[in-house]
Amino acid sequence: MAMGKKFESIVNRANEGYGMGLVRSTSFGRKRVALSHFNLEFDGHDDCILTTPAKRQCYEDSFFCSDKSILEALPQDVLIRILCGVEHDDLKRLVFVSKTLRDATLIAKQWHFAYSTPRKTIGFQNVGNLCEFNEVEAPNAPKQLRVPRSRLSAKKLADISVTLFSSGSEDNWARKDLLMAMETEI
Amino acid sequence: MSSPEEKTLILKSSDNEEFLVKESVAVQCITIKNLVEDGCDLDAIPLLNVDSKNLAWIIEFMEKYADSTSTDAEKKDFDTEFVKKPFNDVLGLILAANYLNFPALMDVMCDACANEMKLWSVEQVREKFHIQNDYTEEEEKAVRAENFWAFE
Repeated sequence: MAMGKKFESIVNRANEGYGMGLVRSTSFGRKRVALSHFNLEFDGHDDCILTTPAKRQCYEDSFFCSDKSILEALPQDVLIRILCGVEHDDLKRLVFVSKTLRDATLIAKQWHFAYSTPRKTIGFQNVGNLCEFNEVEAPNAPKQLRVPRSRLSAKKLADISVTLFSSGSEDNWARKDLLMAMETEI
Repeated sequence: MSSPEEKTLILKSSDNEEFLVKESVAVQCITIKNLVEDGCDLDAIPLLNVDSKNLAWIIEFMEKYADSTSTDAEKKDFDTEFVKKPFNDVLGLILAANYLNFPALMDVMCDACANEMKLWSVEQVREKFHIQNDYTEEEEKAVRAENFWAFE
Protein backbone atom coordinates (compact mmCIF):
# COMPACT_ATOMS: atom_id res chain seq x y z
CA MET A 1 0.00 0.00 0.00
CA ALA A 2 1.56 3.21 -1.10
CA MET A 3 1.64 5.90 1.52
CA GLY A 4 2.93 9.42 1.21
CA LYS A 5 5.98 10.17 3.31
CA LYS A 6 4.20 13.10 4.85
CA PHE A 7 1.32 10.90 5.91
CA GLU A 8 3.72 8.45 7.41
CA SER A 9 5.35 11.11 9.53
CA ILE A 10 1.97 12.37 10.75
CA VAL A 11 0.86 8.87 11.64
CA ASN A 12 4.20 8.26 13.30
CA ARG A 13 3.71 11.30 15.48
CA ALA A 14 0.16 10.24 16.29
CA ASN A 15 1.14 6.68 17.01
CA GLU A 16 4.19 7.52 19.07
CA GLY A 17 1.94 9.34 21.43
CA TYR A 18 -0.06 6.21 22.00
CA GLY A 19 2.39 3.46 22.59
CA MET A 20 3.29 2.28 19.13
CA GLY A 21 6.99 2.21 18.49
CA LEU A 22 7.92 2.76 14.90
CA VAL A 23 11.29 2.35 13.36
CA ARG A 24 12.08 4.81 10.66
CA SER A 25 14.57 3.69 8.14
CA THR A 26 15.99 6.37 5.94
CA SER A 27 18.27 3.98 4.12
CA PHE A 28 15.42 1.75 3.06
CA GLY A 29 13.12 4.52 1.85
CA ARG A 30 9.65 4.22 3.23
CA LYS A 31 9.91 0.84 4.77
CA ARG A 32 8.37 0.79 8.18
CA VAL A 33 8.78 -1.77 10.87
CA ALA A 34 6.28 -1.83 13.67
CA LEU A 35 7.51 -2.73 17.14
CA SER A 36 5.00 -4.57 19.18
CA HIS A 37 4.96 -6.39 22.44
CA PHE A 38 4.91 -9.73 20.71
CA ASN A 39 7.55 -9.61 18.01
CA LEU A 40 10.48 -7.46 17.21
CA GLU A 41 11.74 -7.16 13.68
CA PHE A 42 14.92 -5.37 12.80
CA ASP A 43 16.16 -4.69 9.35
CA GLY A 44 19.72 -4.67 10.54
CA HIS A 45 20.46 -1.12 9.62
CA ASP A 46 22.23 1.50 11.63
CA ASP A 47 19.84 4.38 11.82
CA CYS A 48 16.84 3.04 13.65
CA ILE A 49 15.14 4.83 16.46
CA LEU A 50 13.53 2.79 19.16
CA THR A 51 10.69 4.49 20.89
CA THR A 52 9.50 2.16 23.59
CA PRO A 53 10.06 3.70 26.98
CA ALA A 54 8.68 1.70 29.88
CA LYS A 55 5.60 3.85 30.35
CA ARG A 56 4.42 3.38 26.78
CA GLN A 57 5.17 -0.31 26.95
CA CYS A 58 2.87 -0.59 29.93
CA TYR A 59 0.11 1.18 28.02
CA GLU A 60 0.66 -1.03 25.00
CA ASP A 61 0.40 -4.13 27.16
CA SER A 62 -2.92 -3.18 28.60
CA PHE A 63 -4.27 -1.99 25.32
CA PHE A 64 -3.47 -5.17 23.47
CA CYS A 65 -3.60 -7.77 26.20
CA SER A 66 -6.50 -7.17 28.53
CA ASP A 67 -8.71 -4.66 30.23
CA LYS A 68 -6.57 -4.73 33.35
CA SER A 69 -5.56 -1.40 34.79
CA ILE A 70 -7.10 0.33 31.84
CA LEU A 71 -7.70 3.42 33.90
CA GLU A 72 -4.09 3.44 35.05
CA ALA A 73 -3.07 3.18 31.42
CA LEU A 74 -5.12 6.18 30.39
CA PRO A 75 -3.04 9.23 29.56
CA GLN A 76 -3.20 11.62 32.48
CA ASP A 77 -4.90 14.38 30.51
CA VAL A 78 -7.75 12.03 29.60
CA LEU A 79 -8.03 10.92 33.22
CA ILE A 80 -8.22 14.53 34.37
CA ARG A 81 -10.85 15.27 31.73
CA ILE A 82 -13.00 12.45 33.11
CA LEU A 83 -12.49 13.57 36.71
CA CYS A 84 -13.50 17.12 35.86
CA GLY A 85 -16.97 15.74 35.31
CA VAL A 86 -17.06 14.29 38.81
CA GLU A 87 -18.66 16.47 41.48
CA HIS A 88 -16.22 18.15 43.81
CA ASP A 89 -17.57 16.34 46.83
CA ASP A 90 -17.11 13.00 45.16
CA LEU A 91 -13.52 13.75 44.20
CA LYS A 92 -12.38 13.39 47.78
CA ARG A 93 -13.10 9.69 47.74
CA LEU A 94 -11.09 9.17 44.59
CA VAL A 95 -7.94 10.54 46.20
CA PHE A 96 -7.69 7.35 48.22
CA VAL A 97 -7.93 4.90 45.33
CA SER A 98 -4.33 5.04 44.21
CA LYS A 99 -1.45 7.45 43.80
CA THR A 100 -2.08 7.96 40.10
CA LEU A 101 -5.68 8.77 40.74
CA ARG A 102 -4.71 11.06 43.60
CA ASP A 103 -2.48 13.15 41.35
CA ALA A 104 -5.14 13.45 38.68
CA THR A 105 -7.85 14.18 41.26
CA LEU A 106 -5.85 17.02 42.80
CA ILE A 107 -5.43 18.66 39.41
CA ALA A 108 -9.15 18.21 38.66
CA LYS A 109 -9.95 19.69 42.09
CA GLN A 110 -7.94 22.83 41.23
CA TRP A 111 -9.93 23.10 38.05
CA HIS A 112 -13.13 22.98 40.08
CA PHE A 113 -11.95 25.81 42.30
CA ALA A 114 -10.78 27.85 39.35
CA TYR A 115 -13.95 27.64 37.29
CA SER A 116 -16.80 26.91 39.64
CA THR A 117 -17.68 27.33 43.27
CA PRO A 118 -17.90 23.91 44.80
CA ARG A 119 -21.19 23.27 46.55
CA LYS A 120 -20.84 22.70 50.24
CA THR A 121 -23.40 20.55 51.99
CA ILE A 122 -25.22 22.95 54.29
CA GLY A 123 -25.53 21.89 57.88
CA PHE A 124 -27.85 23.47 60.44
CA GLN A 125 -24.97 25.13 62.26
CA ASN A 126 -24.13 27.24 59.23
CA VAL A 127 -27.57 28.72 58.64
CA GLY A 128 -27.48 31.24 61.45
CA ASN A 129 -23.89 32.27 60.91
CA LEU A 130 -23.54 33.61 57.44
CA CYS A 131 -20.20 35.39 57.82
CA GLU A 132 -18.39 32.29 58.93
CA PHE A 133 -20.20 30.22 56.35
CA ASN A 134 -18.76 32.29 53.54
CA GLU A 135 -15.26 31.97 54.89
CA VAL A 136 -15.45 28.23 55.26
CA GLU A 137 -16.92 27.89 51.79
CA ALA A 138 -13.90 29.30 50.02
CA PRO A 139 -11.00 29.99 52.37
CA ASN A 140 -8.77 31.60 49.80
CA ALA A 141 -11.34 33.50 47.80
CA PRO A 142 -10.85 37.28 47.72
CA LYS A 143 -13.49 39.15 49.66
CA GLN A 144 -15.66 41.31 47.48
CA LEU A 145 -17.98 44.06 48.63
CA ARG A 146 -21.49 43.72 47.30
CA VAL A 147 -21.81 47.43 46.63
CA PRO A 148 -18.62 49.09 45.49
CA ARG A 149 -17.82 52.18 47.48
CA SER A 150 -17.88 55.27 45.36
CA ARG A 151 -14.62 57.17 45.46
CA LEU A 152 -16.38 60.47 45.01
CA SER A 153 -18.31 61.97 47.88
CA ALA A 154 -21.36 64.10 47.18
CA LYS A 155 -19.47 67.18 48.35
CA LYS A 156 -16.70 66.61 45.87
CA LEU A 157 -19.20 66.11 43.11
CA ALA A 158 -20.85 69.39 43.96
CA ASP A 159 -17.52 71.16 43.74
CA ILE A 160 -16.67 69.66 40.43
CA SER A 161 -20.04 70.37 38.90
CA VAL A 162 -19.84 73.98 39.91
CA THR A 163 -16.34 74.27 38.57
CA LEU A 164 -17.29 72.66 35.33
CA PHE A 165 -20.18 74.95 34.72
CA SER A 166 -18.25 78.07 35.57
CA SER A 167 -15.04 76.97 33.94
CA GLY A 168 -16.87 75.98 30.79
CA SER A 169 -17.71 79.56 29.90
CA GLU A 170 -14.48 80.86 31.43
CA ASP A 171 -12.52 78.39 29.38
CA ASN A 172 -14.21 79.53 26.20
CA TRP A 173 -13.34 83.12 26.94
CA ALA A 174 -9.83 82.17 27.96
CA ARG A 175 -9.33 80.24 24.75
CA LYS A 176 -10.65 83.08 22.65
CA ASP A 177 -8.30 85.50 24.33
CA LEU A 178 -5.42 83.12 23.85
CA LEU A 179 -6.17 82.74 20.17
CA MET A 180 -6.37 86.47 19.67
CA ALA A 181 -3.12 86.88 21.56
CA MET A 182 -1.46 84.31 19.38
CA GLU A 183 -2.73 85.90 16.20
CA THR A 184 -1.45 89.29 17.18
CA GLU A 185 1.89 87.79 18.05
CA ILE A 186 2.18 86.11 14.68
CA MET B 1 -27.73 19.49 0.79
CA SER B 2 -24.78 17.48 -0.47
CA SER B 3 -23.15 18.37 -3.72
CA PRO B 4 -22.56 15.60 -6.26
CA GLU B 5 -18.84 16.24 -5.80
CA GLU B 6 -18.90 15.40 -2.09
CA LYS B 7 -16.02 13.23 -1.18
CA THR B 8 -16.22 9.92 0.60
CA LEU B 9 -13.33 8.79 2.73
CA ILE B 10 -12.29 5.25 3.48
CA LEU B 11 -11.48 4.77 7.15
CA LYS B 12 -9.65 1.58 8.00
CA SER B 13 -9.73 0.18 11.52
CA SER B 14 -6.81 -1.51 13.24
CA ASP B 15 -8.32 -4.89 12.34
CA ASN B 16 -8.41 -3.93 8.68
CA GLU B 17 -12.10 -3.31 8.28
CA GLU B 18 -12.94 -0.47 5.93
CA PHE B 19 -15.72 2.05 6.44
CA LEU B 20 -17.02 4.57 3.93
CA VAL B 21 -17.76 7.96 5.46
CA LYS B 22 -18.54 11.31 3.90
CA GLU B 23 -15.70 13.75 4.29
CA SER B 24 -17.96 16.41 5.84
CA VAL B 25 -18.94 13.92 8.55
CA ALA B 26 -15.47 12.48 9.17
CA VAL B 27 -13.74 15.81 9.65
CA GLN B 28 -15.46 16.23 13.01
CA CYS B 29 -12.45 14.18 14.09
CA ILE B 30 -9.63 16.67 14.00
CA THR B 31 -7.02 13.98 13.46
CA ILE B 32 -8.81 12.95 10.25
CA LYS B 33 -9.35 16.60 9.27
CA ASN B 34 -5.61 17.21 9.50
CA LEU B 35 -4.83 14.17 7.40
CA VAL B 36 -7.30 15.29 4.73
CA GLU B 37 -5.88 18.81 4.70
CA ASP B 38 -2.41 17.39 4.29
CA GLY B 39 -3.60 15.44 1.30
CA CYS B 40 -3.20 12.01 2.86
CA ASP B 41 -6.65 10.71 1.99
CA LEU B 42 -5.90 9.26 -1.41
CA ASP B 43 -6.17 5.71 -0.17
CA ALA B 44 -7.81 4.34 2.92
CA ILE B 45 -6.88 6.20 6.08
CA PRO B 46 -5.54 3.68 8.57
CA LEU B 47 -6.60 4.32 12.17
CA LEU B 48 -4.18 2.12 14.01
CA ASN B 49 -5.54 2.72 17.48
CA VAL B 50 -9.22 2.20 16.71
CA ASP B 51 -10.73 -1.24 16.21
CA SER B 52 -13.76 -1.90 14.04
CA LYS B 53 -16.14 -2.17 17.00
CA ASN B 54 -15.25 1.32 18.24
CA LEU B 55 -14.99 2.78 14.77
CA ALA B 56 -18.51 1.64 13.89
CA TRP B 57 -19.88 3.36 17.01
CA ILE B 58 -17.85 6.47 16.34
CA ILE B 59 -19.18 6.70 12.80
CA GLU B 60 -22.72 6.29 14.09
CA PHE B 61 -22.11 9.16 16.52
CA MET B 62 -20.47 11.34 13.88
CA GLU B 63 -23.34 10.89 11.48
CA LYS B 64 -25.88 11.81 14.11
CA TYR B 65 -24.00 14.95 15.04
CA ALA B 66 -23.33 15.96 11.44
CA ASP B 67 -27.02 15.65 10.63
CA SER B 68 -28.32 19.21 10.53
CA THR B 69 -31.93 18.06 10.75
CA SER B 70 -31.58 16.53 14.20
CA THR B 71 -32.51 18.84 17.09
CA ASP B 72 -30.62 19.27 20.35
CA ALA B 73 -33.28 17.27 22.16
CA GLU B 74 -32.89 14.41 19.70
CA LYS B 75 -29.14 14.51 20.13
CA LYS B 76 -29.52 14.39 23.88
CA ASP B 77 -31.77 11.35 23.64
CA PHE B 78 -29.31 9.76 21.27
CA ASP B 79 -26.47 10.43 23.73
CA THR B 80 -28.42 8.90 26.59
CA GLU B 81 -28.91 5.70 24.63
CA PHE B 82 -25.43 5.78 23.15
CA VAL B 83 -23.65 5.74 26.50
CA LYS B 84 -25.55 2.70 27.73
CA LYS B 85 -22.65 0.39 27.11
CA PRO B 86 -20.48 -1.82 29.30
CA PHE B 87 -17.98 0.28 31.19
CA ASN B 88 -14.94 -1.08 29.36
CA ASP B 89 -16.54 -0.11 26.07
CA VAL B 90 -17.10 3.39 27.39
CA LEU B 91 -13.40 3.63 28.23
CA GLY B 92 -12.45 2.21 24.84
CA LEU B 93 -14.53 4.90 23.17
CA ILE B 94 -12.90 7.61 25.30
CA LEU B 95 -9.45 6.46 24.22
CA ALA B 96 -10.54 6.30 20.59
CA ALA B 97 -12.12 9.76 20.79
CA ASN B 98 -8.90 11.07 22.32
CA TYR B 99 -6.80 9.54 19.53
CA LEU B 100 -9.12 10.85 16.83
CA ASN B 101 -9.47 14.19 18.62
CA PHE B 102 -13.27 14.25 18.45
CA PRO B 103 -14.38 16.81 21.05
CA ALA B 104 -18.13 16.14 20.96
CA LEU B 105 -17.74 12.43 21.56
CA MET B 106 -15.08 13.03 24.17
CA ASP B 107 -17.40 15.30 26.15
CA VAL B 108 -20.32 12.89 26.03
CA MET B 109 -18.27 9.82 26.97
CA CYS B 110 -16.24 11.51 29.72
CA ASP B 111 -19.37 12.88 31.33
CA ALA B 112 -20.96 9.44 31.17
CA CYS B 113 -17.88 7.91 32.78
CA ALA B 114 -17.83 10.58 35.50
CA ASN B 115 -21.52 10.00 36.22
CA GLU B 116 -20.88 6.33 36.80
CA MET B 117 -17.84 6.97 38.95
CA LYS B 118 -19.79 9.29 41.25
CA LEU B 119 -21.86 6.42 42.52
CA TRP B 120 -18.95 4.15 43.36
CA SER B 121 -17.07 3.64 46.57
CA VAL B 122 -13.28 3.54 46.64
CA GLU B 123 -13.33 -0.25 46.52
CA GLN B 124 -15.71 -0.29 43.58
CA VAL B 125 -13.50 2.12 41.63
CA ARG B 126 -10.54 -0.18 42.26
CA GLU B 127 -12.53 -3.21 41.19
CA LYS B 128 -13.95 -1.67 38.01
CA PHE B 129 -10.60 -0.39 36.87
CA HIS B 130 -8.55 -3.26 38.28
CA ILE B 131 -6.37 -0.87 40.25
CA GLN B 132 -4.18 -2.04 43.06
CA ASN B 133 -4.08 0.16 46.12
CA ASP B 134 -0.49 1.33 46.07
CA TYR B 135 -0.65 3.30 49.30
CA THR B 136 1.01 1.98 52.41
CA GLU B 137 -0.91 2.52 55.65
CA GLU B 138 1.28 5.47 56.60
CA GLU B 139 0.90 7.06 53.20
CA GLU B 140 -2.84 6.66 53.34
CA LYS B 141 -2.99 8.39 56.73
CA ALA B 142 -0.80 11.18 55.43
CA VAL B 143 -3.05 11.71 52.43
CA ARG B 144 -6.13 11.87 54.63
CA ALA B 145 -4.49 14.44 56.89
CA GLU B 146 -3.14 16.45 53.96
CA ASN B 147 -6.44 16.76 52.19
CA PHE B 148 -8.62 17.23 55.22
CA TRP B 149 -8.87 21.02 54.86
CA ALA B 150 -9.77 20.83 51.22
CA PHE B 151 -12.53 18.33 51.47
CA GLU B 152 -14.08 18.73 54.89
